[in-house]
Amino acid sequence: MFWLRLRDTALLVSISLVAFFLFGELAMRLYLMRQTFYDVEMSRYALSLKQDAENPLIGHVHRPNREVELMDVPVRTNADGFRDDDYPVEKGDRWRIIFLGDSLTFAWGVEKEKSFEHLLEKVLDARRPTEIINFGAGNYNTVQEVNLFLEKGLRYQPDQVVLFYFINDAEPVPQRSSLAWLGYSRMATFYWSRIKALLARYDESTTFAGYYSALYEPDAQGWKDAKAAILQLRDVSREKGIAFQVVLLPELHDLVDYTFAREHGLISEFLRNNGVEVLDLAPSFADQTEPMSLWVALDDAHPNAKAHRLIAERSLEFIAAAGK
Amino acid sequence: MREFARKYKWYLLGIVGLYVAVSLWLFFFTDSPQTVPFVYQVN
Repeated sequence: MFWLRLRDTALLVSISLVAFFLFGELAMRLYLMRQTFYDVEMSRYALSLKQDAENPLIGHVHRPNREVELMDVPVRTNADGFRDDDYPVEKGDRWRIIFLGDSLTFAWGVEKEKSFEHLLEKVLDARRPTEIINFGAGNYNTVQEVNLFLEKGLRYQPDQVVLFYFINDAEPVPQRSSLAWLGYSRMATFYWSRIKALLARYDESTTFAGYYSALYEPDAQGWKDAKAAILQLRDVSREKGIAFQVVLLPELHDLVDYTFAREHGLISEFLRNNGVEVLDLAPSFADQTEPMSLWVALDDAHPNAKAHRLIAERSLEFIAAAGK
Repeated sequence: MREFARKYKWYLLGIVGLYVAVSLWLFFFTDSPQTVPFVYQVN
């Protein structure tokens, strides 16, 4: 009798779970036809655009010549996998700049024409013939950005390289998850995302502030690796006669009383002490009293078109100065 | 299976209803401005 009841209970739970999952998946897909959900879009980005790189220090690269809509914005990659036009490898007469960075430089959630890379290219090109190649890729850290530059960037013979550094760039190089296939399920993505948000309400270390700050603890390996990668990029640039600069992009939660002032100070000090030109954009964003007006969406604090315009305006003279 | 479903119909509906209620609670309770860091999704 006991075993019979146990078997029925197990069957009951299994059937209800399957029914719930199927119903939920259908409901979620119908809901997402009208709504955009950041974690689902990130998952779609990973599944549609990313592929493993041969170099483990690069981790992943974009698939070449792909077109996909992410965060309601068209994204197209060129023959080299960059979100940019195709450029001949051989350099012409134009001043050639390469932008290195992560999803912010990639212009996640923003049309290419409104990205700071495109806006800066337009203004700089009007001053003197200039082209900017956007090497930005989502989820990159500094180690990946530098290794991508060494592998692909040097071939383009740039005159200048600008590393756009964001607070999470000191994370370790990401590894492919064994549960990657779950990304195909909107239900699984929803639960993963919302449980993460729930935990952040009760555990300080899982909030953006606690998590990013911890990346800069003295013994944090990611920060040590990021520093080593920056020095490597500095040395290669010097050797090849390439102007090298770093721009620190602001984190967009609290710009008046900037959340990561200590960490930005630490990064700037390291760069200056090692002879790297740096522009910290966070202080110039202190006039932004409504930070959410700069976000791509409520659940996505990436910079939107307005923020990209501000980044372009406020980094223009710094970037232009290197070309003089 | 059909007999099983008939026998436990209300249990099944109740359990699925509970899952739906938990999901809706999670949806609305965590529907707030982003508080978590950008995370790696390399999958």
